[in-house]
Amino acid sequence: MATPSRLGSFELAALLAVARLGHGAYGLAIRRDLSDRIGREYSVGAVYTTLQRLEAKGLLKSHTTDPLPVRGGRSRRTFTITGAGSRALRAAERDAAALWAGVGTIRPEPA
Amino acid sequence: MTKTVRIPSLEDSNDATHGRSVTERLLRIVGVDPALVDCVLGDLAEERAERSATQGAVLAWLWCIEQAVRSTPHLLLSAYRYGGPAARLRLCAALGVVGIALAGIGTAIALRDGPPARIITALANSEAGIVVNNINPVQLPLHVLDKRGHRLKSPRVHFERASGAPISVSPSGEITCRVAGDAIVRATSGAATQEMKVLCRPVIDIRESSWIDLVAGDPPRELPFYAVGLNGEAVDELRGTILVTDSTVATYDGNMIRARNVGRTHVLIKVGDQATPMSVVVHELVQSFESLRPNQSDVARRVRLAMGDTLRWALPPGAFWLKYIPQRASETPPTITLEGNVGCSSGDGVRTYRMPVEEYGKYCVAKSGASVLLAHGANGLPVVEGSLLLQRAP
Repeated sequence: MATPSRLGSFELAALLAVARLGHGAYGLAIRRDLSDRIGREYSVGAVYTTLQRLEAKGLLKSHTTDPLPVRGGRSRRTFTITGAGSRALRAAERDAAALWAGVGTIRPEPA
Repeated sequence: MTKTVRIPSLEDSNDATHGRSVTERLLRIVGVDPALVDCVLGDLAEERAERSATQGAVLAWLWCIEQAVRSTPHLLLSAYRYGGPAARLRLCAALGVVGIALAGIGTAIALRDGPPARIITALANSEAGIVVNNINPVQLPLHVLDKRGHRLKSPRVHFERASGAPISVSPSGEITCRVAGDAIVRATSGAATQEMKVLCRPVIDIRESSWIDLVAGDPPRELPFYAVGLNGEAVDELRGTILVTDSTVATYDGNMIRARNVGRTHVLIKVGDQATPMSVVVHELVQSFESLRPNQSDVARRVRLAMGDTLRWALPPGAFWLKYIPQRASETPPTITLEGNVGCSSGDGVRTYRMPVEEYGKYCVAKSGASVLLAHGANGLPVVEGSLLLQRAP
């Protein structure tokens, strides 16, 4: 089995958004999901280049729909997670859990 | 009834032939993946349609523009990262063109003219006022600068006489000096105003020596001319140009003319509306007037006579001017006597001095055996010093 890809924080967020949205994961929906959860407005270009990178890493695969009037006659590109993507998410979850292990309530040091 | 709703998209500027918007074509040209372009533009169109319905078309467009600006670096980076060598080259070329264009725009902005901020005279040494020697109307020379000191190319300047002598000043800045006197002229361009002193010194004539003789190696001499004003008297304040035709023979600097090399040239003196030429002859210093080569037409010998001294020099046969110039201006010449078979007159019938600069000048025709005798004379000077010039007629 190949070693799961290391993910950047925004890559991880995008991959998780695709996982959440399921079959309805395409650029606009993913960007809105990320903005709602993180509270920050991302640019369309930033989201798509990240999705493109994840696809190039083999963590996502995409499918192009028929042209849609609502998109000015352009197609929609929907994304789904591949097996490697699932493994990368699990690995990231484990890494995060390992990092958080042993950390109790975080209190700031008195000044 | 069916209502057709037009979905706005970035293809509002569609190219009819290819069905692609300018934006899409540009992104493809610089090497961005067409599929990625399609996704991005599709998302923008979809969301703009939604925002138009809820926020209005203007805000939707603003959002769209902001997204386009923010997305561009990501798309270009993607093109570089995933594009082939040709696409990368295209991207670099496109970025280069954009960079050059931006630099050009920046330069143009930096160099653009601002509003008039300062008016200055376009003449050097005009602190005491602008001297005008013309009788005919003449444009007052001014420059209008913006606050960064850039000279405006075609500024609108309004002129008027503020006070002083009754000179005529047109709104466009033409000055007519019919009388001599000082006047204050006000120039206004936008918010900038400048008052300047105009010194009207009209010149009606330039009186000069027809020529000036110099000896190679001698110190520079003052140009022998003066300008005549309306009342017939000399005008001291002059503004004009003095041009030496051949600067290898003589040069002009600080009202003095300096000999550089043996030869002949001209000086053109221009003051106000008047102009006059003056011949300049630089003589070659020789030890004798005898056995001159055919090309030695302008020669000179040094003269130094103590009290009681005399000099007798043989003269070459032919026609020539014989002149004496003192070492120091206005010093009395020695006594000059021509001996032998020689006849002299004060002119050759063609060339005349309007303002004699030499203390002595004769036009002579000599035959073999003629000579010139120079004696100290009785002028009271312990030593008489100067040069005897011989200028052979062609």
